[in-house]
Amino acid sequence: MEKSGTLEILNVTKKFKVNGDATPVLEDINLTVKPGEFISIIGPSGCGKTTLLRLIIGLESNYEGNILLDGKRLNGPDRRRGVVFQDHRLLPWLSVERNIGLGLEGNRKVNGDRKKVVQEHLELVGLQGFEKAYPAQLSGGMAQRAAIARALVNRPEILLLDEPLGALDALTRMYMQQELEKIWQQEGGITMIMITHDVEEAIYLSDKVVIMSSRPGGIRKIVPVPLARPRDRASYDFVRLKEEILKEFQLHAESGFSYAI
Amino acid sequence: MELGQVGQKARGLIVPLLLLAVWWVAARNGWASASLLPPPEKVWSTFVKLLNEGKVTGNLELSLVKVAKGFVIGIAAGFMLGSLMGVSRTVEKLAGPLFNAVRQVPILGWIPLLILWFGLTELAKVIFIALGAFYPMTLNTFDGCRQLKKEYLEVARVFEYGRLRLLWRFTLPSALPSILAGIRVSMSEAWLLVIGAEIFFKTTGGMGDMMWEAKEKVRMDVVFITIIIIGLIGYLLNIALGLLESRLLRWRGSN
Amino acid sequence: MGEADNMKTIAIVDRTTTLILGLLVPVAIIAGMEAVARLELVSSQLFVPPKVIYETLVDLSLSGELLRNLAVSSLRVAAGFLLGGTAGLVFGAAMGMSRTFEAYVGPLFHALRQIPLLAWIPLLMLWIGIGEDFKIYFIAITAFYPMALNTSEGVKGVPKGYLEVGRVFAFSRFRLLRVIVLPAALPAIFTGLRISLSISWMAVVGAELVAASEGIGYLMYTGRQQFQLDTVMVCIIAISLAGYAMSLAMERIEAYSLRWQRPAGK
Repeated sequence: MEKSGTLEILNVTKKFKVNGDATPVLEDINLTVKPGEFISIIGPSGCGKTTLLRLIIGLESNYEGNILLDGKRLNGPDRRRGVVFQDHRLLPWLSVERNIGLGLEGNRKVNGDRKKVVQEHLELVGLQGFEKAYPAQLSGGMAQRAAIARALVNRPEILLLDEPLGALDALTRMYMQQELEKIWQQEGGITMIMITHDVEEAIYLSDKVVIMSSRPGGIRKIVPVPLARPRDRASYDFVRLKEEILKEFQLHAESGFSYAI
Repeated sequence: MELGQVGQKARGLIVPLLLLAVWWVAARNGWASASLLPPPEKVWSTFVKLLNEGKVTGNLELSLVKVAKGFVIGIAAGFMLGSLMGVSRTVEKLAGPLFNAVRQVPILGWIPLLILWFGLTELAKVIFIALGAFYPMTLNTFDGCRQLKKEYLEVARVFEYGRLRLLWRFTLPSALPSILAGIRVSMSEAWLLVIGAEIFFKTTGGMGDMMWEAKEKVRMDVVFITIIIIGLIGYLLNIALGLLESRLLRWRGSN
Repeated sequence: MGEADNMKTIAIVDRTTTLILGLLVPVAIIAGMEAVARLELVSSQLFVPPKVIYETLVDLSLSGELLRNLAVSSLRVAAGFLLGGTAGLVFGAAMGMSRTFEAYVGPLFHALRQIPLLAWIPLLMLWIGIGEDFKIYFIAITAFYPMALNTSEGVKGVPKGYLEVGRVFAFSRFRLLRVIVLPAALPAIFTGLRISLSISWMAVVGAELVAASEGIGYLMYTGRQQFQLDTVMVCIIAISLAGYAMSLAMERIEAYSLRWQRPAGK
């Protein structure tokens, strides 16, 4: 895979029209994501984090400012960016392998080897044997894994994840966090931008945690996580970082619990 | 281009107005014979004439009376059967298969039989209409009674409600939306069938008969008029019932 | 006798009771009819004993008359249903996918929908006569509306989330329709197909009662004219069987096409 580019979000402001008035959802967002970084975005409801994600992926437009990938302005969705939604959004009428292969049509680099690519990604997320299954037959965790495979199949430079583990139960979530890290490392050089409500999850997985504030949406603080991987949730540094982030929301950490906002 | 609210609604009028214009031009230039396409002015003048002669209201009244009779009988019977089947599994097993089998017969298929049994009488037509109203009412009532949520059933059981009380207090109110929907469908069936009844049971009087006679005499203008009136009345009946429905279902909130 | 055996016995008893109860009323009716006929309680004009009905059924089947007319009617239904159903599908999809299209065409569509289907008969008869065309077009009109309505609703009801998946992968409009919109709308489309099919059956009977020289409706019509109650009854039975067979076939197709809906273990 080619090296991913640098994502620059410059002075981005987005307003929504509500009953004739234009309410700013995001105000003057500035963020640079270096290639291969794993960053998490955390913030209270209404801070515009999902809107920001949708702007980056190209599902929303009409904003002021610039979103550049390697210096070039982004115009609508394309193969360099993939997305994983919170509700996996697998197409229920297609089998798992056809779902995963959904993005491959028209991808000229891949055309002949489509089956091989799909199989590779199936194995990457640990779903071998479930090629012909339908989404209704999968558990939540499995479906989300299939969604991740689907997003990666075009080898995007950037993968955006909107609370990908939010719909899963606590145990599955912890397991999936490890899987996610593994996949990221295996995909060599891919940039991950993840929205989450789970502070612990953010610290566990990211190089940087971006804390957003709401009304209007803006970036409040960026907390780097310089810990070695794999990370120990009970280590002193980990807990200290958690305390630091929670303080931003006027909450306190107690050992052994992870806080969701 | 942003259109105002009025502008948006106006778009719907463009096609009909265009058709009207084409119709007028076609009639004027004689693109089609007058028997196929009477000029709009003629349709209007005939309408006024018929209105003044009382033919419109007279026939309308006859049709509406038939509809009323058949409709009432049909929904009464449908309600009884539907609620019995919905409440008692035994009744459902007894009557269900037969009901479903008989339902397979298209309503129009009953016409020759009804004519043989009751002749070309008013009774035959009323029964025909009632039959049409009967099916949807039964189905909807049955559905509604079946839908009673398990939770409410358990509450009733805790309070040791008798069967009748259960029916009155719980089952029927929760079945009300379905029942009202059934009434609306039955009404449009009944209105549809009154036209059929008047066409197929060749009789005197009624909108359907007026239309059929017009066809026999190749009076396309009258045919147009009757179609428009029939459609309009059907629409108004539907709206009226819809309003009744929303008033009765106010407690549902913005469901 | 373990618990599993108990459960099995209960299930068998339950199923048998259902079967018996279901047959109870029809059998009682037939027996009643036979009794009425034997005791000559009602004039034979109004009433035929089941035996005679059965004999007529056999007669008409053997002479091929029943099947021939049934086939003619079925063909008409097929032709009209295909014509009207396809038009309804395309029209409904267009209305569902394009707000502009719906804004222009919708009001007229809904206005024409208020016209009771049977009212089209005299109009069509004046316009196209009473030949084969008339019957097929009439059936097509009746099949058109339910298809258009259900398709339009189905298309509009496609969850936005799925559409966004298509947008994220930069699907073309055509690909969006084929891969996402139509499959998502398929359950609603099938409902439309079912309703259209049964309405088409009603339409063919109506058309044949009014203007035909063959077909099951015509058979019924002549039966009535000649006071042959038994023929009329046989026709009724034939129509319901044919209609039932068609809807059963449709259900099978629907179950197969929608097999992805079933979660594991069901």
